[in-house]
Amino acid sequence: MEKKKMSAFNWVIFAVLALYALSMILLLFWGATTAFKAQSEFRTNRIWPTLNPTVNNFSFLLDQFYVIVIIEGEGQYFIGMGEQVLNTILYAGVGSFLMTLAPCVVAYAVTKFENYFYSKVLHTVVIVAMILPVVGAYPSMIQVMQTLGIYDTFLGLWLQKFNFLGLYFLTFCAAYKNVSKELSEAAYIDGANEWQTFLQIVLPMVRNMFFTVFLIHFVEMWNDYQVPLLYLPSHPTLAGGVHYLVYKRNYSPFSDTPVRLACCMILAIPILILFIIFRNKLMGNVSMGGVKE
Amino acid sequence: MDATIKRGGGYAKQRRNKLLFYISLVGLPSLQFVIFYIIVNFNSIALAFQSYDSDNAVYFFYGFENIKQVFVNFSTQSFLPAAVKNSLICYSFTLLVGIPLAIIFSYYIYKKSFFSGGFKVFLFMPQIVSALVFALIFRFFTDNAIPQFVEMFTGEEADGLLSLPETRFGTVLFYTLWAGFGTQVLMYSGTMSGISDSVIEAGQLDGINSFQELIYIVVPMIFPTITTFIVVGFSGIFINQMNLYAFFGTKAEYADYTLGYYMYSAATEAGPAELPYLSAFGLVMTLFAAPLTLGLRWALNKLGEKF
Repeated sequence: MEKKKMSAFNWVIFAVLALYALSMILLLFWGATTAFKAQSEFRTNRIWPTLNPTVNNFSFLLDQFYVIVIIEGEGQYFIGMGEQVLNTILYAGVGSFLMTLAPCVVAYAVTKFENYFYSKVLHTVVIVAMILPVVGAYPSMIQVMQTLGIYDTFLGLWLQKFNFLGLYFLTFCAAYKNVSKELSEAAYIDGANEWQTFLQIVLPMVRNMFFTVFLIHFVEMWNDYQVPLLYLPSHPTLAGGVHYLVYKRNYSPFSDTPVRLACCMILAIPILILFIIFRNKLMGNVSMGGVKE
Repeated sequence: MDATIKRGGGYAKQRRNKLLFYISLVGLPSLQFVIFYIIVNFNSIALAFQSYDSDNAVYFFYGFENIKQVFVNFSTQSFLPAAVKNSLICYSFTLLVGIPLAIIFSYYIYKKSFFSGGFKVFLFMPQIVSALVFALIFRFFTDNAIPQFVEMFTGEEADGLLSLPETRFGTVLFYTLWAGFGTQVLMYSGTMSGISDSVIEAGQLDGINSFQELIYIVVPMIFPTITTFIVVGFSGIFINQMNLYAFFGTKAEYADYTLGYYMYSAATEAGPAELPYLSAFGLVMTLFAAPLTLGLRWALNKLGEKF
């Protein structure tokens, strides 16, 4: 196939995008190299990569990267990096699974039993919730969770995440509509019940989508520090730990820029590795709203 | 007769099993929706009309006092009108600069032009690396490396872009744009890939160039997706934090506040006594946001019909 020549317009876009990519490389490179710089060198050389890289910032953080949590009536606790990693896995791992599971199962029910009145209600609820902006329900959410005794617990946050509303409900609905009905019908004829058909025939056919949505949620929640900060204050995640170190420990060596950047790298590196492995899934062809006919 | 009853009984059992299966799928998520959406939002409305008695640790009905207080504060606390102004500036900037750039970048990726796959990764990178990490690296870079660059070239001491009051808001605004292309580009380019080749080929046979193809074919074809982003962005006026919490924690300057930042930072530090006022603030914002957003959506849908 003959390769087309790029138009002048495309060259202009190329130049803008190249500048964009360069700025991103520059920023990440600067951040990564500065994380390996001693503070004494950083005072005089704030721009160029160091010729004497050191891992001292990282070893210091592995030892000192803790969050002090004060619980009224109980005292203060030191939450170290290990516990923060565990909290992150519990929050992001379980939370993103539940956040994917809820739209996955509800979309199946709504698609399969589309004639049920309640299915139509659920579909409408999703659309209305997407359109109607609700601002500032944080205080009420805190109060409701406190009333239910699940505030500041993983269970509370997991229940909050077991939510079928949003774009992925529609994505799953579209996926189920593409799954051949003949396969399910053949399973029924062979004596399979509804659960067996769903778990053994239909779910494997949407497993790629399930995994992609799970990955997207996992990355979001791994990086999220705001939701745990608000609803899970006694169980800081790694992202919460970075926020705490930068904004609550304003004294040296925690306030040294290379230490703070090393802290950022600790949070970023696992997710970058995940991105390198699963980039095609994470950046797959997603569309919404469709093309006009 | 017996056979009829048996068949009828089997059908009833099958229906019952289907219903049980249906309930087992939608039951828990529906309960979750009732608690975490319906009750939370109704409670938010109720809380807006209450106050907290700290002596007895109970909430009591307080009428419209919190709502009145929200309006009073808008006229007495200068940071609130500033927050509205900043939120509107942020949305306008995103609408007028961010969305057009995202569409142009998406077009480049959709046409699979030179190194488009690589650019897609770079545009998506801020969505992968934590917003906190990206914002912090950006902050340390603009406050450390850029002043040293300036000193190297001018010989004069310089302050960081995020430290100087006159450059701070502009820098945050630039960052919000710079780091905000990822999802939009994925969605636009994904939707563009659904455009029929025959439509594009017909345009090319008519002799249109790339720019004309983008403006006269691609943009009208993906207009529903553009509409979605405009509407979502509009409702975001009331919740967008403009990365201020990542840049400054709870210590952002009042002059740079946005409505979203105010709501979130106040909620993180709120005790039981502050919750009713914050709920009232959220309610007032929703009362503005909901009709305006629905109106904008209606207007854009009407506009879309004309294409």
